[in-house]
Amino acid sequence: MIENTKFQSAYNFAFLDERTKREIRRKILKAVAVPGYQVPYSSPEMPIARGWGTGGLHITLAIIGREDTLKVIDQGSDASVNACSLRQFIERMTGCATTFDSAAASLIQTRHRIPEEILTEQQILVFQVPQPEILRSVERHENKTRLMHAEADYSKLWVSLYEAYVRYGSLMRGAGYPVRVNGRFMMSPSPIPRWDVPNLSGARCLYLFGAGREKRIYAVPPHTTVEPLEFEDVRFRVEDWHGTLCAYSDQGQAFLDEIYEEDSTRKFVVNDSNFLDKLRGGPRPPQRLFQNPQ
Amino acid sequence: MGYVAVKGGQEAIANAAELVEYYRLRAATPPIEIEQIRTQMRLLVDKVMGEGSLYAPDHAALAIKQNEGDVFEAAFVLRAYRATLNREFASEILNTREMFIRRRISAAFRDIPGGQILGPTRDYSHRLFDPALATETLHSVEAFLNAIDCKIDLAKIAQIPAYGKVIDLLQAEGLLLPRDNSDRRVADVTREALKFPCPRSASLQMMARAETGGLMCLGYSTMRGFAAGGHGTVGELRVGDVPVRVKDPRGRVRYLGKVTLTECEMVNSAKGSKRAANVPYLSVGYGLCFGQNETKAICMGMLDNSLREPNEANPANSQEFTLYHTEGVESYGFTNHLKLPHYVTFQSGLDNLRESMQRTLASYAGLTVEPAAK
Amino acid sequence: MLHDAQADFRVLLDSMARPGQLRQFSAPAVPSPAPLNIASSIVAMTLLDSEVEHHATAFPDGISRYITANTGSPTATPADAAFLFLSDATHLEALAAARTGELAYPELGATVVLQLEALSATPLPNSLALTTTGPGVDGALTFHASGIDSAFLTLLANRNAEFPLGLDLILTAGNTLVSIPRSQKLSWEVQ
Repeated sequence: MIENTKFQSAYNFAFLDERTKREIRRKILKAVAVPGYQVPYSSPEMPIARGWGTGGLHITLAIIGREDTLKVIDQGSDASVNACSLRQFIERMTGCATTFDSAAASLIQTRHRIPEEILTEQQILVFQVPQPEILRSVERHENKTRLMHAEADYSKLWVSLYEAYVRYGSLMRGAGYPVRVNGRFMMSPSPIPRWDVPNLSGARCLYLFGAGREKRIYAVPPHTTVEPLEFEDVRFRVEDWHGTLCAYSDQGQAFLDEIYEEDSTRKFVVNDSNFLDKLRGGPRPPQRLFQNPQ
Repeated sequence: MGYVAVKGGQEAIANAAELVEYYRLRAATPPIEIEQIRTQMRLLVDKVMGEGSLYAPDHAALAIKQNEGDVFEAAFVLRAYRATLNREFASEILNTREMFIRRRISAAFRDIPGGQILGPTRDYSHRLFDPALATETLHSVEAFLNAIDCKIDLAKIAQIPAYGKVIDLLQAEGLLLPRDNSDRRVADVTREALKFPCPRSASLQMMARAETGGLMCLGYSTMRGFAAGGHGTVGELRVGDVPVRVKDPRGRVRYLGKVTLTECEMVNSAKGSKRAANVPYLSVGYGLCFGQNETKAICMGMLDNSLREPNEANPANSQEFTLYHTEGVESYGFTNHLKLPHYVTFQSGLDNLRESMQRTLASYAGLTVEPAAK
Repeated sequence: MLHDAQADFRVLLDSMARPGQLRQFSAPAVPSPAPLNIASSIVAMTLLDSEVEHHATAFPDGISRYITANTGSPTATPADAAFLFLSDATHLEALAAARTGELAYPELGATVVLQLEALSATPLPNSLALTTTGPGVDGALTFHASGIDSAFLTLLANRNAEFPLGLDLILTAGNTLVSIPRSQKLSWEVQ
């Protein structure tokens, strides 16, 4: 029997070819050396769509090895369909071990959340970033935002925050709250909720950010100062559920999802799926918690 | 609990894949063969190869079949495949003067050396249904082909020359704006991110890979006054086969084969240029793409011209606007990512909104809304 | 080889993310040609290819040929190279010439790989105690290096004065490495 092999492909370990991995690796090192600065990179097309985690995937695939234990979350959940899809792809391309346990993973790829449980020196968190440019909301042109970063001229961003305050009485920044890294670069923390922003600062783990469609990589090394923008009299605040407890664990002090039942009543549930599993099954894992100013 | 939920996600993916396959096949009609798509959906294959940035007709046909004719998806599959291929060689510069012409027209002159060759086009067909196609058979196809064969004179085909270019006439007369030709570096947009202003080689590469509809939208905008550049003239539009050659490691030039290309030179007035401040030169905008895709080549030619008159106020005069937003795989992916859950982001915004709303309402005569989370 | 490159890169990444901490590469499959030490050689094999140029300052010509043959990386002047491999700390001209990037594109600043006699977390004879602070360091961290001097470090501080412009330094000895990216503030004293 004649076999049709024309359309069959064999893929390299971790899908990317070695040359592309090397290029991404060089860019990752530069991103770590200049915390918060967005390094342009090749960002080749992947078999998943732009905007669905290609940047995170590039970083993960460029650094992952056979010894790694991988966790993938989307909106805090291991169960999200896209998290399953990415995990399956990486697993298929590397044969690495996977886990849902935040503490057991050596490499975590995430979309829009930092796990509640404290991450350690042994761990790397890779963020999927839709829009890496924090200044895009105040300046649409890339060559101008680059210049603003080059000159550390962030006046437009400050003005926009101030205007929101004057108009609404608060800074009105939801997820993706602007932060300043190491006192120099303004950075988008990716659309993580404000709840997660304080955990970027002085962490024990390494944070890597990949924006595939926009072709940028950036990083926050461990023990790096990351400050949310705030005014002296208008302070940064994390989301507040006013003491509401999780309907499944009777516990608070975690980012909560608002869920609507069939009869339109709502309940609140801990968002981080692995953290919720641990709350229900045993002692509360270690967390860093931020206190909103009075 | 976590495990069950994850298993649910994986099952949902598997089921979705199975279901979409079912929808492709549920009418139980005979499967379309790749060869049929490649030959009978020629223009579709050409479009997919262009946007997929890979000249591979069989692969493009398979991608079309696999995605039930969705051009965005088909081009995307081709791009993703292309990204896994090793590049051993870069081709020598293609010489479109060597093109074996199938079609060649100029709107700038009534007659051109070598003549206007209308070739295969539906430009002048009346857009009426052809009911005969509904009952077409292999027999009727063969009858048609036999009739055509009788008209073909192989001796004449052998005599078809390579044709000179219309812009050569303009060039010889000194009507074309002298261009600074020092930027010979060929950027590779698949290996490095764009930096603005980007070299023309990067701009042309981006447009050659761009989504046809997106290019048409912006090309059209230049004619409706939304960009400097105006209504250009098709200096020449040609479609045909061009040889591809590479240099082997010993430096010998080797012939690889032929690719079908559409090439367009759009002629425009070059006013506004520094070098032509007082001389009304003409400017040539260049369009080139895989296969026969004349809309794309023309729009690319118009945009090549308009991008050389930078003005960030107009989409078609802005490199950043044009090149980023006509990139089909990126814009397609990102618009569709809106289908992914965003409940964490939404919750974070709701928290702000509720607090701010309460504050604002409280400032009006003590109005209140129900507290956010009680 | 492929898996070695991945493991070696993770050591490099960990090193760059945690300046001042000593890290070790595991033994390479192929020994490095003297006088290039193992760690410098692994950095070259892990990061170089035909897309980036290197300069192997003051190493014998054979070393640069070895790097090119094994990675495809072309050679360039110290001012143009993305990677500079320094055989010892006396090559101040190369350090002075190395590119520090552009304000809009600081990643164009070079990576400098400097080969030393010894690196240690504990004091060494005839050495400098280097203390680094900055991103990646919890407070301050001191390590010890022999084969590096004040002249080199003063010039480096000078070249890194305009952050984000600067040079990212990787110190190597045997199979040990310590990274000092441009984000760091270094101080030192003679021991």
